[in-house]
Amino acid sequence: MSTDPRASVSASAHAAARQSRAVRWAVGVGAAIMSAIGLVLLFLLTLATNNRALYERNYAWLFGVNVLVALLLLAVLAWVAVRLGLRLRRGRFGSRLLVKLAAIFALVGLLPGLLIYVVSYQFVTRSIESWFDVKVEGALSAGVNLARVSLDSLAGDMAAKTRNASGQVAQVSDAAAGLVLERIRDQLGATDVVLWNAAGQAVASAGQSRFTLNPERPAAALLRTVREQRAITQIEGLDDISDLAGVQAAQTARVKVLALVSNPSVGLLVEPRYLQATLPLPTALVANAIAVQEANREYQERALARGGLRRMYVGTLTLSLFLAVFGAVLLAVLLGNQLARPLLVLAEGVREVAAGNLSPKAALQGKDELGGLTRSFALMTQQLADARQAVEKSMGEVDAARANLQTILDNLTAGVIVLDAQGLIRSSNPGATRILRAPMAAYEGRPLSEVPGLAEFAAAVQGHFDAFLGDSERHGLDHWQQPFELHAASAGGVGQQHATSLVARGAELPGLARLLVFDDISEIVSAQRAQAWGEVARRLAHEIKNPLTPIQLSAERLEMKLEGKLPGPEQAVLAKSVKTIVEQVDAMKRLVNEFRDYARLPAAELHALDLNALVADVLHLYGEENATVRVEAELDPRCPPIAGDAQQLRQVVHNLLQNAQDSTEQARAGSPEPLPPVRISTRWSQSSRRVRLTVADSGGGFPAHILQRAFEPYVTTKPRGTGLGLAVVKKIADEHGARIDLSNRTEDGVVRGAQVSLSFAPEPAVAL
Amino acid sequence: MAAGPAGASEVSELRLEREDDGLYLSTTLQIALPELAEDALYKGIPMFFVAEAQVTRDRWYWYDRQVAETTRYLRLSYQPLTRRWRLNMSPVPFTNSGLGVVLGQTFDDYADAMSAVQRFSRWKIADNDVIEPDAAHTVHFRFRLDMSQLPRPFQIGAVGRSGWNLLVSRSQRLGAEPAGK
Repeated sequence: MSTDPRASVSASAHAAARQSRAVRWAVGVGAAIMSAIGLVLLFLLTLATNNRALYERNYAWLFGVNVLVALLLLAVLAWVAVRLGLRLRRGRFGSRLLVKLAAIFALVGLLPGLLIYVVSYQFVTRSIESWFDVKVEGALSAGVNLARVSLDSLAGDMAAKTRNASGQVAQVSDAAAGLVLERIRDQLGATDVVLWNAAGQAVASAGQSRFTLNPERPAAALLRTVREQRAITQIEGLDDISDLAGVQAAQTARVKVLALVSNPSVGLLVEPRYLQATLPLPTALVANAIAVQEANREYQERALARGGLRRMYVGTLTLSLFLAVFGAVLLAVLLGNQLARPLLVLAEGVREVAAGNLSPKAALQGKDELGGLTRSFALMTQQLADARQAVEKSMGEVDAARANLQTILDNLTAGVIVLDAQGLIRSSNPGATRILRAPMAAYEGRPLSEVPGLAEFAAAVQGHFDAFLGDSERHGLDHWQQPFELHAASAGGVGQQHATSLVARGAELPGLARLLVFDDISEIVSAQRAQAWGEVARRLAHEIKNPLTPIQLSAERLEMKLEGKLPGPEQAVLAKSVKTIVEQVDAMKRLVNEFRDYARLPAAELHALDLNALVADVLHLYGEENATVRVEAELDPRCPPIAGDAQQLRQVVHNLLQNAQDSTEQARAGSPEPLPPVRISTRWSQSSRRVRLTVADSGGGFPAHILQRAFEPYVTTKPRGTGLGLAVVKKIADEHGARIDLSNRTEDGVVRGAQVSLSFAPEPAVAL
Repeated sequence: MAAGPAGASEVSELRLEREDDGLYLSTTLQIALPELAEDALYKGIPMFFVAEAQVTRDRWYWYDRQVAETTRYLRLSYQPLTRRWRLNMSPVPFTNSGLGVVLGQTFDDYADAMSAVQRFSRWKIADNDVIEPDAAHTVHFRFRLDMSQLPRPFQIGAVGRSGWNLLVSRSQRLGAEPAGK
């Protein structure tokens, strides 16, 4: 019974533990996956940093995913924190320890991360700033300027040469210009020379443009500018350069010079002509110039983007810090859980054991010491539970034994009193109360001598105990025994009749307690007395009966012999005396016979017998006509047959009725009122399964001292009784196995008469 | 310098012309390049612009349906060596490797180059057949500085910084007029 709820409780606890473990696992696995993803992304991020293009292309979404992972981690962390907080607020057991562990681990994770972050932050910002320098910038722009100035001066040089050369064309007509142009081309080292007229049409050309059908024509605005400035230069081929085309551009870079051909003749309507020469630039110079320009551009680009760059690095750094710290804290919480679990299990178990719950405790299967500790604890609890169970069992056995003993003590006819060393009553049984006729239970904890009427007994007992304990080494006995007469001296001569015969026995109990056991042997004494009387009666009868017949015969002979020989008066004396002798001898014979009958009562022959019929039969003899005291019968028709000897029972009824009548007569002698009747009744008691025969009178009742010994021979209340009537009754009752009770009928404490009742067992065949 | 003071960027007027072969857009923008962008230009860093024109057909029951979209990409750069400005135009985005087939122009000063950037004349934004004769259409025109073509650190640095923002737009309804002229 008691294991059932416990089992179900432990089962539900088990289920709850399993569920929470599953949740924990889910969280752990999720966190691990997320941190793994985060780390992989971080790795990709750092890997990508080596490849600028890849890095720049993927930075944004990598950053985004990382932020997302960090947020997820943060959310998980917040959830865990909230859960922990709730547990703490609810005062759930062990949450304080968990919080502490989590805080420690979080601190351990956070502090190094923060340190590294701060150092790296400083490092990154400083190093980025250190890349950018006023001197470097100045040098780069100076380089660009230098390149430009070089190119310009080169172009100016070429312009001057071209202008000089244009003088050769001045005197030449359009048609002859081709030859001259060819010469000029050679002189200048130009790739292409074209002569334009004012309308912008190619008059003549030399070089590559000769093969182009429609060479690129200079704009009118340009020609106007040339007219004013005499010559302009244009550097071409440097546009549209990119990183890849840099070398190629260096080869195609050229200077285009457009010079006004001066016309020495002062002709107003002579149209101006323009000489255009295309000269290649030195490849090395151009390449260097382009390189400087590119470097400058990139430098400027980065200088402008430096804020962004710093943000990027710092952002990456911060993100990695977040990832690392969140991961660390999350792991810390989970690991702390793992670490704290055995402790929690243990502490929970200790609390339960302290509260008295010795139910089996959970044990963890871990191989570490903490798991071992939980197992040892579970084992210990089990042993404790076993020990307690054993104790409870033995306690139960002891209790049962005690109850057993108590029952035995309570039903013991002997009285038992336990006294302590000071003689105070420690406990007693009902037998003691009955025998001592004092409420012993009320006197527990008080000395025996305080019990009314027992002062002497107490003193005697104390004396015996003192002597016994004082001499115990010497005589080596383990008890003392002594008969006592109780109430012997309390009320003088009459008290003699109240006396109770006891045999007391004392022994020492462990712990200086004293055991006093006593038995009421009054009945035994009475029985012994009855037996002794029987013996006396038998002998007396034998001894007395023998001389009686000769005495009677002698007296009758004397009368016969002397009859007629004596004078009248003497004759009368003789006759009277002989008569007296014969009568007295007869009486004595009767007495002796009674004694003999008592002593030699034949063994009862038990047969099924209807008690009612027997009583009715006997009552015929007690009719109204021949009785001074009426007898009223009240017979219970339900009475079953009993096992009895009809002859003996007839005598019992006779004796009892006689006694009752005698007692009534004796008590009411001289009273004018009619004598109250004697009542005889039979009753079947269903509950006790006994047939009870009761004879009640309205006589003087039994004096108290007689009541105890009424069945002893020669104890009588009648002035002329032999005292054998009740003794015979008692003997017959004993033969029949019937219980005989003798009591006074009392009304309002006044004795109204006596009552004798016998209860017979029904005849076995009927009873069963 | 001819672009006027900074801060007054707008699309002053948008001319739409329906011709036989399509819809043509002409406009002259009034834009002032943000200061940072101008500085970057002078330092030799090219700037990219995107002009988008969308033609949508009005639908009262649903969001408007886009019937045509045309995009023009512009790249303006300064050559410190030659002190000249170069403007490239392309219908496709510029890639990192080379400029591809693009239209290139060279200018001697910034104002000329910018005016070329701001001028759109007879830009065909839609074919005639996509424009339904009876429906009402709207032309959305947007012109902006394209940060996505700039190096990535620029973008990160420029996010949320007003020094790099340039966006002008204008929408104009195209009435349901009979085609042809």
